Amino acid sequence: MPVLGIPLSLDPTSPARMQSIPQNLMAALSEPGAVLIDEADARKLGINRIGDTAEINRQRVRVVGFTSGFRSSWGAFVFASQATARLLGDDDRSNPLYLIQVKDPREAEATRDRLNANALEAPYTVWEKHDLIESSEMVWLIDSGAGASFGFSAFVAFLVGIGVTSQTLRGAVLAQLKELASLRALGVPASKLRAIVVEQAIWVGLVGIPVMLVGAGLVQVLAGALKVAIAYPWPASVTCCLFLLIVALLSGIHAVRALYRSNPTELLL
Amino acid sequence: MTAQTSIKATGLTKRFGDGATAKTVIDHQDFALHAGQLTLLMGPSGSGKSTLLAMVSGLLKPDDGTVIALGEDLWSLSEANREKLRLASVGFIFQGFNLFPALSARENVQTVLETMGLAPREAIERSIAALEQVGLGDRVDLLPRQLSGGEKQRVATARALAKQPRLLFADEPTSALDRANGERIADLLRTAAHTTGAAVLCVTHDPRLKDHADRQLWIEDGRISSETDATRQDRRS
Repeated sequence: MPVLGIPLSLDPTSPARMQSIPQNLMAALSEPGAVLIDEADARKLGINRIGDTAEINRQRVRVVGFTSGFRSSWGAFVFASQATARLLGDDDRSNPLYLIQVKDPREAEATRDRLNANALEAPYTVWEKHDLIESSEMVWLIDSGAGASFGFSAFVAFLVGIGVTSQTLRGAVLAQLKELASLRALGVPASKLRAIVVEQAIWVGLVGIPVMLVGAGLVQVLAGALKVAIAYPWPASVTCCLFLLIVALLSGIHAVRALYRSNPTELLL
Repeated sequence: MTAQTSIKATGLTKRFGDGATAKTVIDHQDFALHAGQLTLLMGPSGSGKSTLLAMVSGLLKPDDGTVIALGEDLWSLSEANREKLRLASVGFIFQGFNLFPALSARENVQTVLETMGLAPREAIERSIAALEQVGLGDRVDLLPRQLSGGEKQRVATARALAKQPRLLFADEPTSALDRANGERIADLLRTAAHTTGAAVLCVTHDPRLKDHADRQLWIEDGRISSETDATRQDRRS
């Protein structure tokens, strides 16, 4: 089983400290050969409980605790102190990463630019924290296959959503053809009836938003129970709500075509 | 008293089908409808009475002939202008009640009034008044499924009357109703004609309605063959 080692600084003041790992677990890493793994990966690594031992690069390690929310999408993450990491053969120095903390955060950008200007001889790049997060997100979303397949799944869901919603609305229109035809006989113009159908569709969308939010909440609870970390950043949530409204609107526009079957003469003959 | 003519149709003709299967349903008929009167148009099934109603009400284009309704040549108007005329001046009551199941009695009436351009508050007041007029003042907030067949047809009647139409068309409005409810609808139609001056045309094969009519027409095989009764006033005098 391939694992990715993450050497951590145990110094709580170091920029390389890991804020999302509790302090007591960090402290437990000071023991040589001590490692942390994620609770979601424990079973595939054959670890049943704290204190179990395993081998990495033929070195014996002991699991001193479980993290949560670090499920790996391939092998498993193993957290260790920098000393343990060296012991385990963390000698790949070809692509080192350094965390640098700037005393005055306002200087971060200027510092980055100054360092990057000096990077001509030895190729390296300096990112600010948010740039790194963003570019890493972009790599996952766009360059990796995962992002592309996620995008296409979402697109299929979008089309299916339009299909299902428009058929439902169309059914509702067809079920009320006589009522709509009698309104037409009374002189209510077809444009007004179209507006009513589209308005109904928008209401469906607006009611759908809280339903969707509740559904998303339930999914999060379920994911939590299965040790899958899920976050809903607000830009993504707003985008989803807009998508839902667009689905409803396009469905309404599609369902309007059923109105052409409402002919008031048919009420008489 | 000479009643004012609201609709004057001349040479009305309607054929259905083509070639050998073509059937002339209405054949060069003249027809007039007078303000302030309930006119019954009676005849057997397939006699062409509903076709005649559809042509003079602006729903079905005749193959030949003209319809002058409220001074307008109905079938020379554009579709949009015909719609406007119907919205402003025409009420319809159908055999099926055709009420929206999700809307209350009041909302079913109100929807049409709002389309006519009435402010919501005025539309609500007028809807309630129309429902009171048909004896449903205590049922304005009920849904169609909470109403009996007779009550539903009265809501449909209120929907037509609330517009204060100058032309009111009813197509077999009592065929799904028992005697008492049928007579009640007929009575409402006649009262509407007399009090608002509307020209009311009721197509029916229900002989129970005869006593309520001011004027009766008989149609058979596409011909308006007789005008059996004169107006009630004439009959009384």
